[in-house]
Amino acid sequence: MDELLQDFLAESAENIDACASQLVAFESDPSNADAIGDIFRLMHTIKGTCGFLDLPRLERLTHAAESLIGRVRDEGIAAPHVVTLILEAIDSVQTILGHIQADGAEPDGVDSGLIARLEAAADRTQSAVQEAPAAPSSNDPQAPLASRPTPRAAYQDAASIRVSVDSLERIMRLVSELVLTRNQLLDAASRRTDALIDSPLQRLSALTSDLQDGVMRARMQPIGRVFSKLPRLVRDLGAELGKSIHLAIEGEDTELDRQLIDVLGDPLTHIIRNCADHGLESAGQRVAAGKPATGSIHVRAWHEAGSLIVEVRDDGRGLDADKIRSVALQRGIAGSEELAAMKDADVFRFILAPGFSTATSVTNISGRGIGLDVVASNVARVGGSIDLASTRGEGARFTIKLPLTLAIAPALVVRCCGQRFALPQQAVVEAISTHQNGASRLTRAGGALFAQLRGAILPIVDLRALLGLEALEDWATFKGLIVLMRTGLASYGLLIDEVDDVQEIVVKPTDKTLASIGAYAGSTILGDGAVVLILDPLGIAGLSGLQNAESGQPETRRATAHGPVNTSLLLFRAGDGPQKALPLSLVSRIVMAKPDALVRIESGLALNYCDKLMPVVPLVDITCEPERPEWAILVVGVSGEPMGLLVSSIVDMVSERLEIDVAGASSQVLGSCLLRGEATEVIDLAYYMELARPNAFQRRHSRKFAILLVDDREFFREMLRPVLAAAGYDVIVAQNARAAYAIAREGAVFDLVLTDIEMPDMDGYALAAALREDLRLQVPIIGMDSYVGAGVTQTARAVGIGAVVGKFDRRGLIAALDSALQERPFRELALEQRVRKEIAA
Amino acid sequence: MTRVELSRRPTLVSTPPARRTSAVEQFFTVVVAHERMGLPIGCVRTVFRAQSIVPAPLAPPWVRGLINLRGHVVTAISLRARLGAAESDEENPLAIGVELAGDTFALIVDAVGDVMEISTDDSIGTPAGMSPMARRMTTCVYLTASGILPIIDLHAAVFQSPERMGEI
Repeated sequence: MDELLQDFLAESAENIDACASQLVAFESDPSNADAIGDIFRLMHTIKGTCGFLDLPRLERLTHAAESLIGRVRDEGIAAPHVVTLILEAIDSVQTILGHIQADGAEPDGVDSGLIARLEAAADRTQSAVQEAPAAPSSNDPQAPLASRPTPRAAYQDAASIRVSVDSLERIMRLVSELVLTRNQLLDAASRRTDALIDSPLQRLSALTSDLQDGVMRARMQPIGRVFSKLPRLVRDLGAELGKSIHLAIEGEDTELDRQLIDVLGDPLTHIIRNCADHGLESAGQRVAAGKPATGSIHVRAWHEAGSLIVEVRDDGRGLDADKIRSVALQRGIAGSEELAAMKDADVFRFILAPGFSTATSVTNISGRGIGLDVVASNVARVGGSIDLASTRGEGARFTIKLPLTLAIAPALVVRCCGQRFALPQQAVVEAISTHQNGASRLTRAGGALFAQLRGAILPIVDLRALLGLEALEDWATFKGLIVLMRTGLASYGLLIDEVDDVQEIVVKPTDKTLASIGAYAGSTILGDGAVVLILDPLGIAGLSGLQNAESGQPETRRATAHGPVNTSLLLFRAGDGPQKALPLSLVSRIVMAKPDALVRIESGLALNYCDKLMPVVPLVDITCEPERPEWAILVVGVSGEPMGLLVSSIVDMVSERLEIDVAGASSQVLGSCLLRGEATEVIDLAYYMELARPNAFQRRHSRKFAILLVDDREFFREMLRPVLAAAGYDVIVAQNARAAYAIAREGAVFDLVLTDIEMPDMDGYALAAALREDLRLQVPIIGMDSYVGAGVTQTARAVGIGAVVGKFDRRGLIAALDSALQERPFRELALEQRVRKEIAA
Repeated sequence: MTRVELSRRPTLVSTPPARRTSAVEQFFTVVVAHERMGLPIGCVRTVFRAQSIVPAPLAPPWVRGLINLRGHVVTAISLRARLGAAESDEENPLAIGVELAGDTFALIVDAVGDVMEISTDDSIGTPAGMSPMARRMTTCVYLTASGILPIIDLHAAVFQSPERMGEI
């Protein structure tokens, strides 16, 4: 019999048994939402598999049963006659499965009576639920699938033998014990020297390690075992959806622990179904969009840094961030303000959230609101993660990351209240001290603990409190470690006493009483023979209510794809508040001024500077320190209209990679970050410029050029915008090259493009080329780069960039803008663009 | 870890006591809070003194913790707690390794007694007055020459949660 069919029968037999017992459990306790959810999922799985194994009778029956179970789930009540009906359906499914097992094909006949009753019950149960009735799509008699050629994978080798998984597991267990015994022996031998013992012991030790390695390898299987099912899945999906789909597979030989191969199967199927159903457009839509009529799905596997990566990519319509936002809002998953502030990449992650489905109609393939959330949680359960990326109109990419093996894993052994626990290293990012420069990183707000880490706020889970070990008497004086944990869905810091060790541990499952607590992923025996519990990072997040703690991801917030860029910053103090900073490039001079040199003018203070009266904005109240001999004044400003910022003292100049982690709460501050280990506020110059020179913006209105500013990093956009505005330009901001291209294509009026050169995805050169070639844009383009060399300028010229200036060369930048715009009167440029826009319309 | 291997290997697999036909079954007797109880001998694998029990925080009160039993991690269940008695302060308590549903568990007891052969005819109903807790942990009760012997329901002792117990 077909290998796929065999697998299906074995799996379904288990599932169907579980179904019946779960159903009974739900009947007795309708508040048990998990039970009914499980039944629904099990039925859904059977139905889904029927779909591509071509078992139409079973599929129709399970579809009807699933619809009814779905209603029961939504309403949370199971009337006895409904339960009886579902059990009857389960019995029928079992009978049909029995026939398939015996004959290799579905028995003849239809279950129209039972299906009709199931549907009737579903309609009756349905109260206010607005959903299309889930009727079987067709009643066409389909030829039963007796035998199809089994897809034989090329990797199968005649020089191998089949070994039952049980015996392999047994060997694995024995080897684990051997390793433990060896460790104890080594421990005992280390206390005395005995040449007679030492040498054979060394050899025993090495052999044990080799044996362990060998058994681990024996458990590894090529991922092709999972991939071999995909061509058929895709072909059947294509037929069902009426789409032409091409499947490309790479990396079938990549090896993975057999336990994980089993884990991978379902997620992969779900994701591919999702790509085929939601991702790929119909042939007509594809041709209209200028794509080949045949959609393609690309599956690739490879090893990377001790993990297995499986990537599924389609060239369909991509994810629709706006649609996801509106559904998330509708489902109450997130608030509208929160959604508006989120980046598209973060919004995409909602499709992995429970109960989320954007499909507007119930199809046979997907769209019942289960699937991707189950995929995400199954992957997370084994310490893996799923990432997704998408470009509108170009497709979506799912990346599954899994550990190579579950049986032996590196773990951090930590100590809390005298007891040791193991933390899977897969989830550990780093461990940091609770104290820095003598001050605790911990803060308490709203009854919860947080830590400040590189300016970001990280939710803290206090392990002792979570496990009820003992109360933390005073968090402010507590000295310990924060282990930064990252699971698929949440990041948090785990507060512990100390790290004991890092060990390779053999993971042993716990019994169901302990497993049901949710805090433990298993247990293990350490080298010294002691038992320790393995903490479950995902479970702990759940127990602490941090499942969707998106806020706590300091590392991912501003990952730079093109290497760190250091910024020179001037650090200074103004009064008692935190240390402050300003990019050095904005400061043209620092002058020291005695209090009597400052004069009061109508709008505040002023200083005689270069024979002109320069407005000065105090960042500190000078009346507080009347005896202070002199104040530091930072001279900033552009285009011959300088202004001063009065501060208490200059601390230092630093060149560091600047990452603003906390956005400013007030308008004076751009945001906060850690510099030299101290929380530092980066001040917003634009705010002070408006204070000091309220007319500066209007004054040049008559000759205002518009500049399209393109930079992928918020910090630079925020830094340059006031600089440009103060220099008398209107600024249109684009956060990346594609956004800039879209702005230009829509016909926005601007006189010059100022773009960062190094940007991820599409860089400044590509943008310039696209603007010049596709849009025939004539306006000057100026590039910005951290380092300006001859080579850069040459490359830039080739794509139509008139000049490249250093990012922090403020004078050079303004000069380049002036000279580029001097050549033609701006009105003419604007007119030219307006004409183009009208032609385009 | 000191272990006393059972000299008599089990030959009979325990089944629920038959009501009609009489048969002889073997039970392993233990003492918990000064009371004698029986265990179906087919489940008993080993008797040992637990050297160190690692507590499992958040676990139900009858779960004493985890024990390393010859390279296997087993969950230790306190029968005292299960029967509503106060925990003993014995640091290295006596434990019975029992096998249930493919897993091994350790039942913490105060003392072990003999293996008894009992005829199923000697089964009596649960005597009135036994605490509800003890009732739930008992499959049946035998009357023997040396007194009453309640038989421990292993499945209930290991797995049953309090909510479930309330229903029964």
